[in-house]
Amino acid sequence: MEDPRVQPFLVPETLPIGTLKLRPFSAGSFLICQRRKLGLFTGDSTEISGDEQLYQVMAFLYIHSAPMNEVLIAAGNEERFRLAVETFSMTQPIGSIPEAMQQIQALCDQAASASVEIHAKPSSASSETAPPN
Amino acid sequence: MIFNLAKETGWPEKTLLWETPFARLLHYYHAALRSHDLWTVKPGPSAAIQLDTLGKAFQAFQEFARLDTPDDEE
Repeated sequence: MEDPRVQPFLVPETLPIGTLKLRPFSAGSFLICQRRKLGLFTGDSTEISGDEQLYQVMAFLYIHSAPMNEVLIAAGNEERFRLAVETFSMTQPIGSIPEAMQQIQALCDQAASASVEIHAKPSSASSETAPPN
Repeated sequence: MIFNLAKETGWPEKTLLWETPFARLLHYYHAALRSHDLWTVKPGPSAAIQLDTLGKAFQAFQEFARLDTPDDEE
């Protein structure tokens, strides 16, 4: 069975979803998700209403498919960002949402499996090897 | 993280921040930590909660889409 940690190295540069071509889910776009409190993708929120979930999926698609400068300008202000996402969502077919959610889940899965935390070494046993992960 | 990876790889900030997939970046970061003899462990429940939330969102949408189909209106 393939090691899931290999998966991020085998994905295409751009991800097609419906008619959109998404840029990679990168550290920069993760920062935008954090800034605009998109809890679905940052893991900061466990209770999100259905409407908010759809909004956040659309926001994710907007962040990764609209021109970069436009996204960065919109992301600086909550109202401007919400307006940009809502305008963008008007152009998206509803049929593309399930595929988008599956792809986004796969991206988050890959990021989650890759994330690690630094663990303090036991001072008394410096000769021990690091725990496997 | 970006500073450390830029230092390790020599790659420009733009590449690291916008062009490298996040999961791949995290793997490179992990490798950099291990190569400097730092110990790393898997984080706790936050990733699991995130995936669970996305799974529930997907199920909720599937139910919503089923309710909205023309077949159901008949």
